[in-house]
Amino acid sequence: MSGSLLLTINLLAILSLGVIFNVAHSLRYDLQSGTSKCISEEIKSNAMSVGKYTVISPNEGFPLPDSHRVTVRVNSPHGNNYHFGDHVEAGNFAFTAAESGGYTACFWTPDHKVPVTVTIEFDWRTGVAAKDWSNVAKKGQVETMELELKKLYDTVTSIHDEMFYLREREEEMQQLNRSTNSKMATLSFVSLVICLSVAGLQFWHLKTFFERKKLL
Amino acid sequence: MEVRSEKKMWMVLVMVTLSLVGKISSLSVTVNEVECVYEYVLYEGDTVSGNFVVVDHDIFWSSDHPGIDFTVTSPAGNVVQTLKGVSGDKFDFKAPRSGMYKFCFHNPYSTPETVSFYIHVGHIPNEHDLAKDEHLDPVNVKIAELREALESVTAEQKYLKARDTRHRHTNESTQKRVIFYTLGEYLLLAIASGLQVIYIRQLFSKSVGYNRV
Repeated sequence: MSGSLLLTINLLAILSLGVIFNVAHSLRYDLQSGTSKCISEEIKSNAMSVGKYTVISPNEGFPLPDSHRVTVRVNSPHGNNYHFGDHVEAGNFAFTAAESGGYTACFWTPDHKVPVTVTIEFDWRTGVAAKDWSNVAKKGQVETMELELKKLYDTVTSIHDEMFYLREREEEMQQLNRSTNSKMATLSFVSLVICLSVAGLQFWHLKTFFERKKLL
Repeated sequence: MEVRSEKKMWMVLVMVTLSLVGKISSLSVTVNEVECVYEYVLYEGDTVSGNFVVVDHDIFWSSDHPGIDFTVTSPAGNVVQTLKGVSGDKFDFKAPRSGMYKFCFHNPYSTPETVSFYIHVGHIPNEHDLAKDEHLDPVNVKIAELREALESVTAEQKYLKARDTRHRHTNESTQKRVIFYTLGEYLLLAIASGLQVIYIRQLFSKSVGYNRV
């Protein structure tokens, strides 16, 4: 299983560093040939984001057949392209989000006569999880415990920020609801007025029409 | 040396929608369409927790769409957890064995749905791991527990954010509907009364015949 190969490599890397830190595994999903699948994530502006993708080989140890290559496109919510990989087996990307919104990463495989299912392993991390802790550990000569506590502190800060964001969104939604409520009241009142005025107009017009025709 | 590894998942929106959205073409969801995601659990006994929310689009016509089905299958092939006909829920379970777990969303209806989900696999080293590795402090267990608690807070926040997004879609759609349907109602009222007047005038026009009515 390629997942275990990834794990072994990671284990070796960590052993050499001598630091306990989090090994991240990734999301794995299937892609039918000739179709595309998009994954999107909400990223706030000025947040770091790193992504890594690999095509899992269907047979262990053998090189990846050409039919299993994918085309990748990472787009910002306004349509700017941050990463483009054409017919690749694996790749990675990193960027700092310029605008906040939903960033999409789309995978596409070309269609073949024999429909194949391509398995893609995709790891996309933003914000706290995207921070490169191995650099922090090396630079400051920090202890393991201190590193872990630093990570926890970062997590707590991000939770705090997220709460502020949720509060803001809730405020916006209340605003929206209040405006919908008042709009509904105004529009219903106007609808009543229009109904009565249309009926009145009809009545007045038909009355003058019949009086002109000398029927009334 | 023991490596304590933890899997962090993030919140993703799996676009299971059609090119109705426009620039993104993806799998078209027809009846009995399934979308599966695989996640590797390293240790037996790890707690797998997560949540998912169906984020409605303007495509929805009936407010009582029953929702989607969610199934978790263990590497052995048996179903660990299943939720039927929900529009979003939290879940957590203790992994009976390590391996590749499959998380599947099943949409029983023909309208495409967008699902926003978050899966987290948490591992807390226990006494067995402590005994195996001399570098592992008992404090690390406490730190791991603390980290797991914080992760559960983060997961809850992501769940709330997804629900807030769905709520916002509903509210925006409500406002749009209020405005457009009311304006359409005015227009139709004016047209209907105009047609009425024209018809009555026609009934009384001389060319048809005086006193025909």
